[in-house]
Formats: sequence, structure tokens, C-alpha cells
Amino acid sequence: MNPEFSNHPKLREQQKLEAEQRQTLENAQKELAGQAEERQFGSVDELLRFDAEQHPVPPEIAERLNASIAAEGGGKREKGWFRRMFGS
Amino acid sequence: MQATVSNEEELLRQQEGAQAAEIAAPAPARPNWVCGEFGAVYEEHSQCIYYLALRLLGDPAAAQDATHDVFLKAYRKMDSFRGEAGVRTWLYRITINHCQNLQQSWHARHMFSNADDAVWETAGTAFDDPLRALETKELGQRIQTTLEKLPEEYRLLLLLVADQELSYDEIGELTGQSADAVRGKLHRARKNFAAHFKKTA
Repeated sequence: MNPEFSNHPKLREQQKLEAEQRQTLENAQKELAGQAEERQFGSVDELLRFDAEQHPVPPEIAERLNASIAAEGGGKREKGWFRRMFGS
Repeated sequence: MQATVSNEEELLRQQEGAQAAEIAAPAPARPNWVCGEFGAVYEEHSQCIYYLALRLLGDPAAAQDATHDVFLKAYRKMDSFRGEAGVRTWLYRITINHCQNLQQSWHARHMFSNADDAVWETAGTAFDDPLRALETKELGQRIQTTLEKLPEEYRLLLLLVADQELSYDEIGELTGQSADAVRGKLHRARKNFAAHFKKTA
């Protein structure tokens, strides 16, 4: 690069600004990583329950189940099961 | 110019007609099983069944397949369900057997890749915030890695006891042992898990 150009004040200022922005981003990422580590759980059970809450059932499963049940003539067995469980 | 205007008007009329037809048409009926008792069973128990399958198989896609298969089996067998055990215990039994069969199959040994990040990237999370989602994903991977280091029995016991609706007696029924044995093994399983989990940080 032309030395005269690389020493241009505006270019130096831009480079300085970019370096500050990179540093700000790195600091933010470190802070976020620190926050993630700070989450505390009282027990393994609590940790797993929290983990379970973070994984909701994908809605696609119900859609697939719907198709599978429909393919088997779905709905006909409902009354028998219901009567057996609740006696009505 | 006039021809273009009339084409646009025609297009607009067609669009309006389509929208009106859509509004007038009745909404598609909900499937019978969703409105019925089996739908209530699915709504109440699908979350815990999915999570158990997820952590036993270590693969969201496999867990989806397993959850679908478990509930389909339950649907087919509900005539023969006598109500001797609770519905959740019954579903857990089907899930455990299904997942164990899968893990022992050739397919499971050769096709699943637990470390495939791309699979976990598409797994649903409870957060829309990408930063929280990343945090959740990393925690989930640590948990999965830790569970896979434990003996299979400890892994199953920890996952079952995390479900607060299951008693030690019910866990004992599912794992073929007494409630006291469950209690003792859980104590060791928790210690084991904590030690391994710490190393994943």
C-alpha cells in the first residue's frame, strides 16, 4: 500500500474505529458467556427439568400422528377406551 | 395502456373472489382423535415422552420419530390398556422399550450421529431470542454429553425422576426394582452426573 495513503488521517481514524468495534463485540460475547455460566441449579433434577422445558414437543409430531391415525380409520376406538377408563 | 389496466382489474377481481371464497369456506374440521380422549392423553403426556426419547436417543429427529411411534402404538393398544398402571407409566414403558430396541438395532448403531450440530440447530427451543437459544443449545449439549457418559441405568433413572409426576414406586415398576433400590441408585447417579457435568464446562 502507498505509505502516503496508509498514513492518511481519515484512514487511521477508520481503522481505530473498527478496532474499537471489534473490542466491544468481543467484550459483549465474553459477558454473555459469563452470564450463561452463572445460571445455578439446586440439583441435577432441577437441571434436567429446566432442560426439559427448553425442548417443547415439535408440532410436526401431532401432524404426523394425525396422518397415521387417519390412515388406520382413526376415531373409531375412542368410545371403547373412554368407557373402559371412566365407566360411561 | 387500456389493455394493461383491464388485466390488472381482472386480476384484482380474481384475487378478491378467491379471498371471499376462502372466508366463506368452513375451517377444516379438527381430527376426531384431537378432540377425543386420546387427544387429551397426547396433550398431557407428549412433552415428557418426547423429552425422555430425546435424551435417551440423543437425536431430535429420532426423538420425533420415536414419540410419533410411541403414541401410535398407544393408540392401537388402548383397547387392551386395563388401567392397572397410570397412563403416564404405561406410556413411559412403551417409550423405554421402543428406545432400547432402537438403540440395539443396526440402524441406531450406524445411522445416528449424536454430535451432529446441524441436527440440534433445527431442534425446537422455547426461545425466539437467538442468544438465549444458543445458551440453551450449549447447555443441552453438555447435558447430553454427560448423560452419555453414565451407565444406561443411571441415565434412565435420572430422566424418570426428573418427571415430578412419577413416584419412586412407579420408577421401580418401570425399571424392575424396589423403590428403595431406586432411591439408592439415584443418589449415586446424581453424584456421578454432577462430577461428569462439571468437566463439560
